[in-house]
Amino acid sequence: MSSSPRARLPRLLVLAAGLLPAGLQAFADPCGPAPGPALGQEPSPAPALAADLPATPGPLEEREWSRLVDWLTPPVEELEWLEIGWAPTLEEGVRRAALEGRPLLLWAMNGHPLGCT
Amino acid sequence: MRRELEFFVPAADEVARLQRVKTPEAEWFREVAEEGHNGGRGPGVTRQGIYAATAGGRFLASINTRSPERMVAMLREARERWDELTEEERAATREAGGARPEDRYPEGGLALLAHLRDLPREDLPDDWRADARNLDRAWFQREELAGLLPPDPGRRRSEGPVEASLAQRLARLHLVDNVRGQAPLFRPECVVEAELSVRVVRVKRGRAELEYVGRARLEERGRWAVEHPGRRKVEADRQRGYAAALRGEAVWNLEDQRFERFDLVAAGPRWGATQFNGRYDDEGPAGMGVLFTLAPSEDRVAPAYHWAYPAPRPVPQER
Repeated sequence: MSSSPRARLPRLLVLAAGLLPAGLQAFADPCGPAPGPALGQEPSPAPALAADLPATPGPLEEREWSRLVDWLTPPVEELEWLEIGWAPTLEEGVRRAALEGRPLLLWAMNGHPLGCT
Repeated sequence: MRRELEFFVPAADEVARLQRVKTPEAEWFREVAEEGHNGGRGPGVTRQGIYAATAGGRFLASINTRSPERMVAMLREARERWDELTEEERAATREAGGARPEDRYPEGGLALLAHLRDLPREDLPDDWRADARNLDRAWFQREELAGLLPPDPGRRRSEGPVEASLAQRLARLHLVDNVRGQAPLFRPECVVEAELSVRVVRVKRGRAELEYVGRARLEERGRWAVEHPGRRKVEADRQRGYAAALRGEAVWNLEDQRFERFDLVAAGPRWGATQFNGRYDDEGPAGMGVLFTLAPSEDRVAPAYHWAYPAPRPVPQER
């Protein structure tokens, strides 16, 4: 069983220092951007537009790239829900349900549930 | 839960398209959904949720919840209703076809998974957002593959730019901050730069090892609202963007004319929030990464912004 996301954070932060390309280090700074106002407070009606937008980072070196690949690759346990054998479309689900004589269970979301939601 | 699920054929689909298009499949859905938890609330209200029905379109039960207990209760209710049906009612079928985005799956082309995640940082909230991920697809048709290759893929050091339209599409449709929810794609005028070059590092046993290097920058300014839980929605002048370095490695099979490996990373700061992307209190700038890697051959889910992909190019006639 995987650890909770919060429990994994300290390890991730240790990794962070070496994970990010030089141009990105500022965005992993523990003293970086402060979180927004707490729930229950009204947001600023007009967020300030940043005058100085971040620069585009320089090239990724091979070592940085390998670490990023590891960071971005989901662990196996994150993808266990895909083992359920979802029909990827309603049409396919209806076809299978008819063929197998079973009821259909459809998960319908804004954004494909098996993809970007 | 898994035991309860095994009684059903599980399927998943994108609801907004099913609520909008005119195909037998979408009509099947709309009629079932009208009897469900959000039925009768008008076409503008989302019908997101989980529905149980017969193949013939007879509604059994529905719910929209993240609670395992409520989900199990719904599955049991659906099963009870199924058990009450006659054999004839269970076996009834109904047309549920029609054109789909998956019809344009790139057979013989390149189908990629796109994994999105924030880069490590300390000031993440103490909830699911601390390790949020999202998954999209990026497709390149067979006739587009040449645009991803150097001029002479079989010759070491051959190098050249990836076709500009492909690099731009990759940036506009896939370098979008969807880590916590969906944001709109970037319009063409938001692409400040989108450059990717490719070179042959080595040729060995009929395979070319390729290296990709590039950068992308997307910027948008405008006026839009951002959903914030527990607060009123406020429309304001806003901006968003992403600035990324890109680097990738791939293996091209020279004989089979296909990619055997494709790993491309984009990493850099993103900024701003959109209506539904969950950045209402986290506008950055903060690091975000995207990893593109080969999709399993059985994976046919279409890219989130499939409608923005260009129409298929005409296949040259053989003489």
